[in-house]
Amino acid sequence: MSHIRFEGIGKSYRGRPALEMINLDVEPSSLTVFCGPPGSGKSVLMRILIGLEAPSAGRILSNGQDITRLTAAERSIGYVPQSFALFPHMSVFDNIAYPMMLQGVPRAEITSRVDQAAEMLRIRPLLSKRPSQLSGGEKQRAAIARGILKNADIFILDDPLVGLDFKLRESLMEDLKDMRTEIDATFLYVTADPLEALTMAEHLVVMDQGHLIEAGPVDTVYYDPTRLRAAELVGFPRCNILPGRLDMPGAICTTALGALQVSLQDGAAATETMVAIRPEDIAPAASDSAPLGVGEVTLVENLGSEAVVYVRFGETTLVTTISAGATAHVDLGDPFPFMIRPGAPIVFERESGWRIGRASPVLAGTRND
Amino acid sequence: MAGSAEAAASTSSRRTLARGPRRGLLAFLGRREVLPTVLIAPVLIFFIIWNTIPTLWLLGLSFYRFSLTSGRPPIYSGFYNFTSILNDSSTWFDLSRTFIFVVLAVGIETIAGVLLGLLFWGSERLPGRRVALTLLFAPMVVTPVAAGTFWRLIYDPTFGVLNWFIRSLGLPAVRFLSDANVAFGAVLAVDVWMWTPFMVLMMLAALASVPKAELEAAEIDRLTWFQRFRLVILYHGKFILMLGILLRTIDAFKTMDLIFDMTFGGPGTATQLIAISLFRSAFESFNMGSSSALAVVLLLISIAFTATFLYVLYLRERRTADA
Repeated sequence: MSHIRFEGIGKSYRGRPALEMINLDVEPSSLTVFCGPPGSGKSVLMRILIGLEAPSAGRILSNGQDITRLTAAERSIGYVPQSFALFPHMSVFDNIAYPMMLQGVPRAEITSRVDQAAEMLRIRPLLSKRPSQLSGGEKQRAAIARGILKNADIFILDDPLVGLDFKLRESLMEDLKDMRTEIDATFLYVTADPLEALTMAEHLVVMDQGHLIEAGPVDTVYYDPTRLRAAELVGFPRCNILPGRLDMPGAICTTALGALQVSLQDGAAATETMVAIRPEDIAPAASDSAPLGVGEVTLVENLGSEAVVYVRFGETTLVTTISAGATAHVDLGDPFPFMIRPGAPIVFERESGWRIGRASPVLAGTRND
Repeated sequence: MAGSAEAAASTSSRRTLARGPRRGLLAFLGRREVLPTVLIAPVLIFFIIWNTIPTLWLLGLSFYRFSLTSGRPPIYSGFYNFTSILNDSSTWFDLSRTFIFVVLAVGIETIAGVLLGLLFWGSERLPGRRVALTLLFAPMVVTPVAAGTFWRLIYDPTFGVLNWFIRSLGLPAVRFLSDANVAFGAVLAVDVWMWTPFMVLMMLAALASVPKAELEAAEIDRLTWFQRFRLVILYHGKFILMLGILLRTIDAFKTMDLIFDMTFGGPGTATQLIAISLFRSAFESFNMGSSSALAVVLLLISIAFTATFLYVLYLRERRTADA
């Protein structure tokens, strides 16, 4: 079990920064998911941790020991790269077994551990085949087996499910979670897919343009983000982001949805704002209550158990989710009376992107400025 | 009936108008089966005139006794030229000398090429790498006759720069090109100097074909440097490397111009490779029938080299696929 600490990690390529001042603690035996759009620097950070690249600044500590200058071979890290990296001239068994052979693990133990991993990842019939005879998903599972069977304290899975079909992704995500409970080690998982990030994560690290913008338990990052960009990047369907204007005194934020009463954090002042509202916090208004507004349905995406509904309200398009049962009553062009869950909208300062408070809709006649 | 014919004509005319006029040569070239033939024809004609016809001519002439100095017409002699070549011990000596030259030259060039290739590959961020690479490749682009001339001057026992260094160390001058014990090595060294860059180039191309991810995986999994070379680099780069070895083998087998300019096969026959004896037979003795037969034998040997290399490569590929 390893506690990993990134201290002021920076990396630049020919003067162009790829990572800037990354400070992060990864708890031992945790599953931390690094999420961010392509080019956000998450893979570079992992490559630095593995030892495939040297940081331009900062250091990495593993259990308090500085490992920044150690070579990749000297660090005890299991790695599942995005591109499989299976040796084409070896069978799947040999591909999985050779790191253990090099570590001097007895043959009988190697066979038993390979069998166990193959069973778990459902690749037992493929063990005698060459990588060229496998499908993309089978190759990926073989690569995962090779990475996790290494005697290591830290395992890095760099976008291991990218390019796989949905069914396979779903089943592999379950497998990886099961495996995670069996292996008592620190797992770092990289993905650009917010849904995959939310499904897998215990701890979530959100990265964007080489900066770490949010880190913490997954629920906190999702429900209580401190940065606007984190709210934008994490979540599916996307978060509704509306511009607003915060007026003092009274802390009323004026948006396209009307006035919001903001519960401000300390030190906040009148400013231009952005308001983030999760799709699930916008709901159809009950027939016996007054709606916040009435929009028009412009698109319905049926996801099976639920549907994503796009509602035009004035110049703004809102995204919301409704249960599958309710889709029968929603059609394109239909009026969509909606309301917003009180306390759900998060208000950010527009320029800095930092959170300044939470808000609740001000219904007609309840404004108290 | 007439109405339908008119309608068809009108439709056809409308189609023509829509596509624009396509008549005569353009319409002919526009046909799917014609255009590829037209495009490939110049190369094909060139190949037939300058390669196929001379080869067939050579093959035909090899069955005749024909000397340019006798003034007599060619006389058909069946396999006489071939049997006399095979019974001539000097041909065998020249051939064995050529094989030794090929094995040593290609062997040294391959090893040096692989090592230098790895060196340049591993020093991608080193300042001056491009300049060093350009300097390294310079010998390859020098005309063999020019290279032979200035190496003859470098090797010169009286005013050659190499002997100046040797003498300045207090050692006696070496007659590089006129001592039968040294000349072969001296000529071989120039060939290695000239063609190692080609193998470096092939090695760099081979290294470029190695997937970075596999190398990184090998590094993380603690493979030794040699294991990484054997399991990853050689596996992915072997085809390009083998191609380089094949091309160099065929080329080294034909080495003539370099030696022609440096020693002309001497002293005695110390550096007389088969291509030099072929040249002598054809353009000193003007024995065209016999030299044609020797050329045919050399052609067959070259084809055998190529076929062997390709067969070995194919076998390995098949074994890999079957396993």
